[in-house]
Amino acid sequence: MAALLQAVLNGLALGSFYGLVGIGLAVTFGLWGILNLAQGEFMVLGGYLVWMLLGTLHLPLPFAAPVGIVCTGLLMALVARGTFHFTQRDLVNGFIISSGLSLVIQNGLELAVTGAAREIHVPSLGSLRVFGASIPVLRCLFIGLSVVSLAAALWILGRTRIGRQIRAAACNIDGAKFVGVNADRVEAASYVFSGMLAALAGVGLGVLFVLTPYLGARYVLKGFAAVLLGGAYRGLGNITSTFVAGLAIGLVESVGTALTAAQWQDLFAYALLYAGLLVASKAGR
Amino acid sequence: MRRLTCGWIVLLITAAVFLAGCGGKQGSSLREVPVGVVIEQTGPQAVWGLPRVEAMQVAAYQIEKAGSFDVSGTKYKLKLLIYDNRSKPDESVAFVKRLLDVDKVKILFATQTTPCTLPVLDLIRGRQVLHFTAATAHQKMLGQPGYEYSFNCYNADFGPNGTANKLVDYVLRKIPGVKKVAFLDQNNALGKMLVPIYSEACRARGLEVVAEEYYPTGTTDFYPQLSKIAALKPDLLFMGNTDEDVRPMLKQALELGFRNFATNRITPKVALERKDDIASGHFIGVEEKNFLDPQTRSLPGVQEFITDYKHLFGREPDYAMIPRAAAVYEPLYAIVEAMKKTGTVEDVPKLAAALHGMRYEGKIWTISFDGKGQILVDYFMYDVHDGQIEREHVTP
Repeated sequence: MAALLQAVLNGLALGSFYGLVGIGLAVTFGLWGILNLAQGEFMVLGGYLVWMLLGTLHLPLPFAAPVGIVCTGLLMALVARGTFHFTQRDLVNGFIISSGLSLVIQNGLELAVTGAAREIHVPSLGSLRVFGASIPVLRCLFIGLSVVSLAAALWILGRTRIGRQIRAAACNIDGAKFVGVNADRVEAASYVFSGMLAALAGVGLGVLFVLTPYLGARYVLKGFAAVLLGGAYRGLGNITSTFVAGLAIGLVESVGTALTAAQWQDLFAYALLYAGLLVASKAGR
Repeated sequence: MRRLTCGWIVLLITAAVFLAGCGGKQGSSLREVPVGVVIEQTGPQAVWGLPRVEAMQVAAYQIEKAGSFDVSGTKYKLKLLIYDNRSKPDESVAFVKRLLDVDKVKILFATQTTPCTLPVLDLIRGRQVLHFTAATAHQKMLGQPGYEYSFNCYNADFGPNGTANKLVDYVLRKIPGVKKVAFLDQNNALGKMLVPIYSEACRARGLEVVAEEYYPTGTTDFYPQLSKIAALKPDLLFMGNTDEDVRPMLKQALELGFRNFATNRITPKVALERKDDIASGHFIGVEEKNFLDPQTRSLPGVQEFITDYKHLFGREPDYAMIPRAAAVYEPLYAIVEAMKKTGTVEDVPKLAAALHGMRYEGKIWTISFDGKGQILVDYFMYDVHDGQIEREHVTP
């Protein structure tokens, strides 16, 4: 029982990463038809930015993390303006550009900070014992932060002016422009939002695990699986279902590992994706 | 008339210079020993292949610079026939076929990684060719019929004198209370090869192996695997084979209450970063000569390697890679010694026999090959405990 509970808690932490990367992907995919493969690299970049702010400017984490996260968001918007802006709703060209972009970021980071694994050092806050299972407080905090980010995203999209504009643009970009929505502003806001979510995951990566320039690909694949799985039920781009799908993938990986062998971890995630898509297609979604 | 005389003088001087050049250039009268090299110079495995191909070029250059070598009164130099397999098994096969059937080489270095080496092993089976590889999977073939002339020049884990047995003995000396051990390694050819070797060494010493788990390449969150292993309450965790993997794994294992660790490929740097957290336990591993240490770098042989490397490639070598490079650099010199000793450059059985019994004092390593063809080098066992590191020099 304790082992199963431990696996569930581990899966929630892992799934939070997939969920955050997935939401970022879902926003740009749902709005602009861009499958941004560089989302994982922006995640890593955000983590490195915070690591550098801590290491070189010696800023405290509560200050360095928001600065790094906002900077990553702005950087992503800037890069998108010069690249994805010209390939909106063009899946193939967006795919090619984002593949190239991910290589540029990976190799740029390799040159700048080398391939050695880096950590964002924070004091350990100990572990919580829940019915025999042990989960570090930092992991609990990260799961909580992910849920808060989802809630904030839902609030921004549902209750604010820019959120309503983003939703309008997602439904019909030409119609939104016709009624006065500033498409460029909406585009920039969506990429800032996507980049900030990626960077938040990157900070979590640096605090809980390590950062290396090539980590992004693994997370973006799982994040994309979350987009597809979530999209199979509530439509591509739905952020709540994407986040829940991310959690489900993390849970399946972790519980599957606990019950069988660790080497099948990836198999469980993709089997879930396959099963989800199969059921959705049978149901005509 | 004067113009004609001047013309003759210029012609004579030119002819004299040309003839002097021919006579003085000793290299033109040298005979060449072709050495086939199929190696990962590009692609994902270039990290292994590139330092090695460069080291072989340094060795060939140094041998020629020193006036080449004498075998039964004839002067020889090494001619490297180098092919980049781009880290691909199919290209490895094509180049090895060419080297064996067209170039007719008797000495072949192919290749450095398991996926590329496995198909190559089929090609060299039963052939009279001195074959060298650094691939882990090759260790199973050592001494098998058809592979009498095949040598492994890296990965000294295997065999009675291999690091697996030595490391487990060292663990039991340092942590006498160990009864149950668990393994967590990468789900790739190297991990799948190492875990059975080390778990066998543990079982042979009466230890209970409670888990043999493999994680997917690129994993950063080891909690699912570590939690599962922790429930089995092992006294010692054998883990990973790259610093990049073990760094987060160690952090998470300590969070989950693991105290004793053993590794076979990890630098002590990873353990020293967490020496305070490990203080009450042990982190035991195997370490090669450390070329990042200026004292090691100033050793005469190493210094010569560095100088010649800079001369050939115009840059500093990657010091962390020198142990990998030495895995082909020293064997190339050992082959030359075997040729001098046996008086032949082509008789493969004689050369193989000479290599099996040879102890070669190299510029970087002192190497020897055991009866099956596995390289043996000296190394250090280390134990990070109580905030300190303790090293023990091991000469197999």
